[in-house]
Amino acid sequence: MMRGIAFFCVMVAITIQRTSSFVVSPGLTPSINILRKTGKSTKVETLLKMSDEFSQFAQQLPARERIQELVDDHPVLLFMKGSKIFPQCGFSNTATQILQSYNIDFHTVDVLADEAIRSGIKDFSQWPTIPQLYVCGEFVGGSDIMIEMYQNGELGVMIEKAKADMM
Amino acid sequence: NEKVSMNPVEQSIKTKLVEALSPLHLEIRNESHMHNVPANSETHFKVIVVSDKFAEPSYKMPIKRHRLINNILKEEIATDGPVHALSIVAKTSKQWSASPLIPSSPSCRGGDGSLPSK
Repeated sequence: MMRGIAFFCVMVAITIQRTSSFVVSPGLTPSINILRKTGKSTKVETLLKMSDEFSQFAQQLPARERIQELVDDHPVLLFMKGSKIFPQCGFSNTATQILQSYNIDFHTVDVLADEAIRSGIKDFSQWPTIPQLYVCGEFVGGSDIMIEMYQNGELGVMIEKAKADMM
Repeated sequence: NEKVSMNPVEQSIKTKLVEALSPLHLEIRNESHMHNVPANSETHFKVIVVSDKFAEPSYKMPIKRHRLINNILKEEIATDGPVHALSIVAKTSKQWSASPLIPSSPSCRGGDGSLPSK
């Protein structure tokens, strides 16, 4: 009985340590899937189940709050489909290409990995489509607007201001 | 003797934009064929709108013009509506005569799996 409790405490401790990183970095999701494929023992399965439940819980934290935090924390922020290195939509790809041409650090959020953010951001921005660009906390627009502002130099001006914020 | 429209979404977009913006030039391009959806879909559109409504001071910024068009077409582009992507080019007649080139829409990259594919 005592050994059972001790074992359970160890499991919880390991889970908390592991799942906290899953909440912070959605990019680790692929490694969960790899573990899922290779994990044979019930210990691994229990861990995975607990981490799934924990990340589902974390995802239920109001999307609005999480979005506001992202917008506040990152001077150049792109909500997109897919990731910077693997966009899953032509319009999202256009947006990342434009941002990459400025040679700055920019943060991307993959809305395909988080349904709450995907619908939440449309509400937050009052804008129906993805991608969505935020610079210095301000909503700039989607890929069409980014193209227009890139061509007329306005986006470059905004990016310069954001660069100053990053220093 | 009622004829069912072959492209109801496109017709609806046209009607609404004409009514709201009295465009001097209007082009609605169904770009669904460029994407991973079945033939004859009406899911991806590009609209090119030239209207002097955009000459008004409150519509100077592209984002204001896009929000206006999004609002006009809000039923079509709602999450449960038929249109999955809307590319917008919105110019005044002056801007249009200065630069009538339209950037073409990017290639698909496969999509997110939410629509039935080809």
